[in-house]
Amino acid sequence: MESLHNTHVKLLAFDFLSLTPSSSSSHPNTIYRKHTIISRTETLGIITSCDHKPDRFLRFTVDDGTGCIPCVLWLNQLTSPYFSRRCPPDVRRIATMAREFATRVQIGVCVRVRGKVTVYRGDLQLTVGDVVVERDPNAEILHWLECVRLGIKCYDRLHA
Amino acid sequence: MILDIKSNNVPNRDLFIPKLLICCELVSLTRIEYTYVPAHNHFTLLKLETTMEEEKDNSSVKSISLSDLLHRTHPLTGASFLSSGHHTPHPNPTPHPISPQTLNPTNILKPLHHPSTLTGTLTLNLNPSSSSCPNPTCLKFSDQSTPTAVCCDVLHFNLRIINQPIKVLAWNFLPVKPHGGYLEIIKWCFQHENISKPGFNAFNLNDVSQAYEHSIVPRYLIYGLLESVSPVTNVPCTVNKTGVKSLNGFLAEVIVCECEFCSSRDTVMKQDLIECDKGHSFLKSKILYFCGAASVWYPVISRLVGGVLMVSGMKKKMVFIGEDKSLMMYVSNEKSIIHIPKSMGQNAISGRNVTIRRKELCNVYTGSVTATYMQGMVVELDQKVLLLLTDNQLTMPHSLRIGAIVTVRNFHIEDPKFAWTKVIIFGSCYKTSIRVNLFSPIESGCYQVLQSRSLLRKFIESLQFSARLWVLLVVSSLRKKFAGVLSEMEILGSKHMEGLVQKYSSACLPLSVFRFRHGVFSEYCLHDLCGCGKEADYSFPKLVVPISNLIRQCEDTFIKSLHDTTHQCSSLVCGGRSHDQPVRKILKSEDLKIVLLGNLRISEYSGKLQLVDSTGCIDVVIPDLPSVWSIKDINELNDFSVVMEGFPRHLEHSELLNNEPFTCGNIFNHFHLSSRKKIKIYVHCYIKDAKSKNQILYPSVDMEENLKELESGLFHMLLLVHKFPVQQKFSSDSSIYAEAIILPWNLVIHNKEMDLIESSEGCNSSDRLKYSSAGDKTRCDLSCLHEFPCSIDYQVYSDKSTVNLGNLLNCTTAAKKVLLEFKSDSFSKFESLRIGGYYLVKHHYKGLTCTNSDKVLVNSTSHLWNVSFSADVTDPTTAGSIDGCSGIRPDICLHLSEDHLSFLEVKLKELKQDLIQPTKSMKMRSASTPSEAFGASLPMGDLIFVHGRVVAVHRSDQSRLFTGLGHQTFHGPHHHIVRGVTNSVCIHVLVDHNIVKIYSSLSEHSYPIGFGPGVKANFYRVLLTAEGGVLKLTPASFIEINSITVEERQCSNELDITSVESVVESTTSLLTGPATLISEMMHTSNHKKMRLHCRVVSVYVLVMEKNSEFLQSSKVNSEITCVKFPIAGFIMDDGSSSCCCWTDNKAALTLLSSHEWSPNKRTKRTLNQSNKKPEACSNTMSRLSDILNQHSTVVIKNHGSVSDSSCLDAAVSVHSDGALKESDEQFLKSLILQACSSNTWNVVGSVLDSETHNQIEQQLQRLDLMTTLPLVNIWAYEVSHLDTLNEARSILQELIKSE
Repeated sequence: MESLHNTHVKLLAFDFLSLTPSSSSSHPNTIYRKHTIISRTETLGIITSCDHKPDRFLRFTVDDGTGCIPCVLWLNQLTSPYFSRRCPPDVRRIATMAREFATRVQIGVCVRVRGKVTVYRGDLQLTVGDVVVERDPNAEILHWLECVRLGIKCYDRLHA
Repeated sequence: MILDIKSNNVPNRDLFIPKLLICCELVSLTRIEYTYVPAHNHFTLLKLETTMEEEKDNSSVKSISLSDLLHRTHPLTGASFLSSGHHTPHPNPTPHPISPQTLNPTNILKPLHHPSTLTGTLTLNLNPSSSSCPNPTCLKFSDQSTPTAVCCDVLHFNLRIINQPIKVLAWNFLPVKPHGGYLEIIKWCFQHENISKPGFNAFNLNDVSQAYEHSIVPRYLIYGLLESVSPVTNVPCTVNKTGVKSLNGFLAEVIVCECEFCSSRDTVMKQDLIECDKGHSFLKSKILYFCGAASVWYPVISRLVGGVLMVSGMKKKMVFIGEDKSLMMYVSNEKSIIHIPKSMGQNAISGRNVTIRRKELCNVYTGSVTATYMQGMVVELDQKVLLLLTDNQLTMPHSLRIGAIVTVRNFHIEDPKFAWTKVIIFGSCYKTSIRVNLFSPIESGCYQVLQSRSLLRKFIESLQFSARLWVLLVVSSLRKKFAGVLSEMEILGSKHMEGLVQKYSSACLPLSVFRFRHGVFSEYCLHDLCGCGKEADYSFPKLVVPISNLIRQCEDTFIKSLHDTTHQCSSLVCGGRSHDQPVRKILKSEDLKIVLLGNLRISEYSGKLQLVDSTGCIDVVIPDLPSVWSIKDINELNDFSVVMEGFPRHLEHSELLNNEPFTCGNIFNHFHLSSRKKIKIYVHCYIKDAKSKNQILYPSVDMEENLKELESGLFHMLLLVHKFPVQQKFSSDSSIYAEAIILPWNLVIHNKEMDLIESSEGCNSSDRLKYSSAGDKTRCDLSCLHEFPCSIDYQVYSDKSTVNLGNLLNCTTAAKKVLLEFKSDSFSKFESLRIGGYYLVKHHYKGLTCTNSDKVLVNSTSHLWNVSFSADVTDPTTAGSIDGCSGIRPDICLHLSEDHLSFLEVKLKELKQDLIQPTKSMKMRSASTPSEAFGASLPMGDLIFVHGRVVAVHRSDQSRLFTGLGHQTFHGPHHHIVRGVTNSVCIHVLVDHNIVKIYSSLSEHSYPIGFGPGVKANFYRVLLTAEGGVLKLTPASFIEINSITVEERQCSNELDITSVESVVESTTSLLTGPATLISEMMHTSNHKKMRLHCRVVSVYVLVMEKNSEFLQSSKVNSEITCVKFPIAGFIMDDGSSSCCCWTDNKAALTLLSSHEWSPNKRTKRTLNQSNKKPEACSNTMSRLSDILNQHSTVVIKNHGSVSDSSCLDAAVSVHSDGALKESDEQFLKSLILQACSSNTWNVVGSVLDSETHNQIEQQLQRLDLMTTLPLVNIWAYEVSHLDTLNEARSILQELIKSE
């Protein structure tokens, strides 16, 4: 049975919010969807709230009609020790990209967000990898349908 | 008789009524009720009420005189009160009121209001030479009221009727000019009853006097079945020494029995042998020759064909019939007698249609005449057979009218196997005879003998039957086509001159269809030896069709094909919306087996080129229209395609025509084309191509004059730069414009005679020129720098090629731009001009180019000859050439020496670079496009040239352009709003394997005929807008069609998607279901192409190289980029799983999100370090180009995580000595990052097969990379934007199905 470990699983918000973090202390960051390990996800919806802390993070929520997914976009690459091991030009480039994503995040805009599923203070959140603005109004409907299709054809079968 | 005909518009009524009359044997009909079944095209009889009226009271019967009839101008019938004593009265007579109004006055013979009888005498035409009617088959009827006898035919013919007073009980009378009229005797009886009793039983042949049995001494009795009778023929013979007298006569063939019983004269005279069947064998054929005075018996003998003939007193003579052949014949003399057989039953109608073929001849056919064509040369029987009566000598009765029931004997049956229609031919020869069994009740004209001895008639007679019919079709077609254009004489010819028909036909027909005619005697007696009716095996020439018939045929074919097949998938998805695509069908001339003749003209209404004849017109696309053509020329198109285009939705309710437009009847008759359907029909052909056999059949005179102008003189050279399209509202007084450049090159053509004189005087051509054009000096500076001798080869006509000598002069004047104006009289000249072509114009005091004006008027007298240059070498394959518009044969070819040619080439190239390039000369770009440009102001940008194949054309509107445009577009305008394009048309053009979209809001007139999917076209001066790189057609843009692809664009589902060209089709073809999931691909072992819907997660490897093709390409709009990608591996994810997607060049560029980059201008700018996206983007391609110029190959490898772009650990290496600059490395890495945060792609690909897998492995090893990833490895063929709406629909359908 192949895993969905490195796949950006397309989930509707209600599905996302019902993911269960691992109860075992050895794997605190492992998230399950009906016994299947999930690490990355993709969502599409309207940005409904926005909390910008310059050079630190941008916190926003994406509403896809079934619920709201809290998202966090880190903007602290240039100061974070996490990036200190990597070569500075690469870090600068990543920081530039993150700032570029931050400019796209505006309330009311339809975005497609990919990232890691993480838990912050016991709540599930999406740590943003990239943000793409969706101009095509049909993209939202397509996303819903894809989530349903993938759920039936792929995700539900994995633990079946 | 009352025919209660309810509808006058019922077809086939003409056929129906006579048949009914036969059924009822002309009894008194009171009411016929019938219904017409259109589907089967026949009548069904519902009710037939016949009232057998009692014989009319004698007092009600009125006698009518012949003179009374002759004074009437309308045909009438005396048969409506016909009664028969043989029928028993109807038990329940139901009389219906007689209402003459119910009869159709135009079709049925008008009846008299009361029963009328005629009393008179039936005689033979004793003096045919003085008679007004030359028809030898006619009997004569006369009464006491008038001295003139009228021609007549009689049913139930009895020999005893001759010279006896008879009472005509039922008749039809048809007035005929000039010899009075024609009487058809339907019912008759002897006036004096005693005559019917045997008193005399024979006639003397020579004086037509009655003879009695007891006085006869029968010698040489011939008794048998009369097989056939020849026409009356005239034989010149010497009577005495004083001179030559011609002798009229005819031949008859009698089959006799040679048994003992039959040989006995006495028994024969007493008993009717044929009546008493005693096993006779009628086998022996005897030829009888009725000559001199006996030839007057022709009407009688010809009526006896198929019956018994008994003659005696004939002389047995050996007759020479030419070419050392002689035959024993029985020749009539003064003692010859014709006997009246005991039984008259032999004349009854033979069984219908017992067609027995004997010695190439068919025995008998009975049918009704349904039509006569071509002055009676073609008679249609039962709507299925065409009887050809083309021989001048053959004479047929006048009663051979439409509606008559006739019996044809001794004819040849032939199937011409015409490709365009099915028809059976009955060919007539000198043995053929026709007898009318029942006269027509329809008011149709008398059959008239055509006394024409024109060359055409002789030509037709010399042909085999099928060829005769074909020529008759040509005659009919050409007469209809050129009525009013050519005179009848020009079409048909005369006694001494061949007409167009004969010239055309003799060129088309092979020699095998011609046969030598031997004359009546030889062909009758030695019928089988003369080759009459011999079928030649060959394929028939094509049918010459009137344009009206062609249009209707095409409409019918098209609608039929729509009905037969379902065209459900003929829609194109663009901009998230599906657009109906027209269905196209192409008929090729070789399948149609037709040829088109007609004049070319420019339509006064649409300004488009058309082929016209008197019956209609059809649009034509001729890419190689010659420079010199006249609307008076008759063109012959043998090789062409008829293209039909229409939307199935518009034609759902169209009905098919009942009859086919290409049937012989519709070619012979006037064919009316009712309103045209919503189908675009046009003809596509090439004229100058020698292989196509398309030529000028009948050139008008002014063509010759054109050539005279070319013989000598000075010519200026022009280069046509642009043609402006026809303006929105076209009218006859509007103008069309073209832009040209007068080149500083002139051509002097030497007059041959002048050369001789001047070469002896020793002055060169330029001196002479200065001298001759001294008066023009102020306008045209004719001084020259260089002078190149050349030879001029005229190729105006394909059959003529004249070579002249001349000099090409390089002048001192500068090139000048002029605007050529064409008024309606010279539209034909505009039509033949090609952009990029070189043209010669004669130098003239008031000539086109010799004025100072920038705008010159091209009138109908000014000529522009297309010219090309080639090296004067013996081997034409190595010869270089300058040809303005390739593929088009020029009118004039200039042969120069190789050095001179290359000099000219260089000079012309320089000129083009300086002056002509529209992208430079016509630049409208403003450096800083202000934001106020949004609004009413004109769009800004470059005018460029696009060449490609049109894939689709559909309506689009501006709002559609907001949403993602479905497929790969020219630099991705999907984020841009196209200003000024409202209610526009979107044209998808395939340019170098890429789909380019051109938007247009022009009127219909701006598109040339035939413009649509499947054409290869040049788009001149297309606006590439400054903001967004959208291509738009402007009112100055001109579209030129190069070719129309013959392949039909069928259902896109059936298309082979391996074709890289068919981007639109293939994407559509895989749109039938939702995209495949990568997780599903893992389990498939096949390498079928599938469609994925996925996003780039990371880049595994990317190899970039400098593209050498880019340096060579000069076209601005070329899709060739400066970078090429030999191999690229992208990690893709669709939510179900990840895969490694391998690809190269174009698809790799797309996956790198190149649509977000700037247009690929090769402008050098310094790198702006600013983070502002627009500036950064505008530099992307040029920056890449710069990097690759330094390092030629750049490899980017990812050593980090392949599932997270933020963890990307890209290593950039170069294949050159110099190290990559840090900034360049960061630039390249940022490109990768950008690709990883792009949109969702539509990828068409397949799982790697082992061979490709190995190749990739080898490439990776060379790059020191680990082998392919433990993921699904696929090869991506195409990458395009996703059509979200259709994808969503497909998924929804799948979900509903799985429920």
